[in-house]
Amino acid sequence: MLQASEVHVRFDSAHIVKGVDIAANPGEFTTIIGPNGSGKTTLLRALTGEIKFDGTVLMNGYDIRNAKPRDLATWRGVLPQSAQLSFPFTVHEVVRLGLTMGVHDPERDNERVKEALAAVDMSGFSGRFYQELSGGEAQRVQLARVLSQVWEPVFDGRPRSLFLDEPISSLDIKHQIQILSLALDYARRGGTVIAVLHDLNLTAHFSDHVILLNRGQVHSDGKPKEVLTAQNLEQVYGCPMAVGAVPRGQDFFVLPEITAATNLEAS
Amino acid sequence: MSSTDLDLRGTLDGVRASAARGDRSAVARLVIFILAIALAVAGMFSLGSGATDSSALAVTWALITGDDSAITLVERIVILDIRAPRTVLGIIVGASLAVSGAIMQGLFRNPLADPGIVGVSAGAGLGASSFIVLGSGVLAPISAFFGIYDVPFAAFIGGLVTTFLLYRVSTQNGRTSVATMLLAGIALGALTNAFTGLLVFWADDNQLRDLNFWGLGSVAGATWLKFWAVAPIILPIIILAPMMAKGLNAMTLGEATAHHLGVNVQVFKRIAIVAVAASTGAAVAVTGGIGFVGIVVPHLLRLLIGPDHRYLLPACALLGGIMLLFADAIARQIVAPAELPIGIVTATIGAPFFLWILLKRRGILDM
Repeated sequence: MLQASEVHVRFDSAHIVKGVDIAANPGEFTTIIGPNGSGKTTLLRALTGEIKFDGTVLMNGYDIRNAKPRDLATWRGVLPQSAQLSFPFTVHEVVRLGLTMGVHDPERDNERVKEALAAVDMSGFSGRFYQELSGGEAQRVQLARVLSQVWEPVFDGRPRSLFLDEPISSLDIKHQIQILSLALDYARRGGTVIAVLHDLNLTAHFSDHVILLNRGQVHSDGKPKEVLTAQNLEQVYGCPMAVGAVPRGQDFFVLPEITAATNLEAS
Repeated sequence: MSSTDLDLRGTLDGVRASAARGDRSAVARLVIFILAIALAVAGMFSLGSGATDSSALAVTWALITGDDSAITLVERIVILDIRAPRTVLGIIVGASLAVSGAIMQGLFRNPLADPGIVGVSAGAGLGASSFIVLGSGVLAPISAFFGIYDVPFAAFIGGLVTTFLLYRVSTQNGRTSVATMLLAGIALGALTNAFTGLLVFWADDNQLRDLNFWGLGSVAGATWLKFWAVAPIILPIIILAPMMAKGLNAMTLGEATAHHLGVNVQVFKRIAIVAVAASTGAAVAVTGGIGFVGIVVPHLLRLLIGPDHRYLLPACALLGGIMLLFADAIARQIVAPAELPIGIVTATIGAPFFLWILLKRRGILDM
């Protein structure tokens, strides 16, 4: 359970996040969407305790500002947008970095690394050098590292949180679906999943709860069908949108309506 | 993986199999074991070689058993009071240089950060020089307070200030720019050298000789007193350094991810900076500017066992000691019976090595 109230983030003179109140429930896949510069990543960084903010963020009822980094690491894993790595680690060693804190049994750690790599479809890669991977492979390895850190979605009777900042930005469609299914499964097994996504159709398919940000504020918040309406999206993204039902199944699609006459509002 | 380290573990299938799966910890443990033996052997040869040529084995045997028949009384004195302090000082200084290099590279997240190259040694040198020149003048009260620890302490302060400034200048929003770091190191080095130059200008003849000899880097003047002046600083850092390993490993993913993984980044950085400054300062205080050990040793070991600091730091301590004894042996042999300052030897080997790293990894400045 994650509750944020009146969260403000300021960098020097810029006021990036302006009074956000949101909640993300365990068992649910919560997605934060919004145009570039709407404050999605900054909000996520505040929720994970990485940057300073005003307001309150409660994780399972505890104020994260009073928590030690070590305790936070027990309760939440974070997949950043991009990860730099300065030394020639192997894939196995990178995933093992997820088990940095605490005392571990090497045998069990190796098992965990294996399971995490299998979960992201990277089993055969453990002996490869991380720096030699493609962008998509590297991103899946980083996700395996985060998974190894918070492997059980429920720990000690309390839900863990998984924060994903654009987890599928450099993946092909098969792996986009695979990674989001993995995250959804994490939520279904009791964890709290909070992802920043750009793809509105995948947001529609995978999310239980969507938060639409605009200029640092929550524009709308609710179930995908309530938030992903043509009217909301047009207001926030500034381009004409069409929302309709997929011929088979329960899903719906979201498309920009591009015609020769489309005149995009300068944002 | 090079063919040589494959040969090394040719017979050890388990070690090789785990390395193939990307887990190099078994390889690392094996390498550390071999390095420990190599350091013992190197130490023995260092004790045994010199103007009186008793065999290394005879000397070690005599020292272990206390049986004087194999070596003469003169030899015993030469070995215990002249060679032994030189050997043990060489080992701890080499270990200290290599470990502080590895910590600094981990902290700055790049393999080119070395206390010698980015001006930390120069800062420590300024601290040390100020006590060599002014220790009996303006700084006499402080010198009297610290006793034999005055020069090491001043070197520590000099190193601390430079390391801190360097980190502040080259790190923004948790990311360290390699280019900025190297350039800032040049600027800081130039500034500290200017102040050191001022001290040289003020120094009298005796102090000049001290400064000059010391600036080239040497373990020739090793005494037990010097050893005891720095051992209480260097040994705890070398022994406790592996406690920083997990934090350094996490830091290789950047400060934000280190925080996500549970590292208290601000506190950790302070500890790492103080450790680098203290061990560099102590090494510089007793042996002067011995460059490039801190970059060559960690780099070689990363090729061999990988960058995991849990194994890298102890391996650096061992190989650092071996490399310094090796360089000292060259310094003593090459112009015998005279000897070269060891800093000349390490720079002659190390500087081309540094250039080779640059050649191999051209993209590194863009990181």
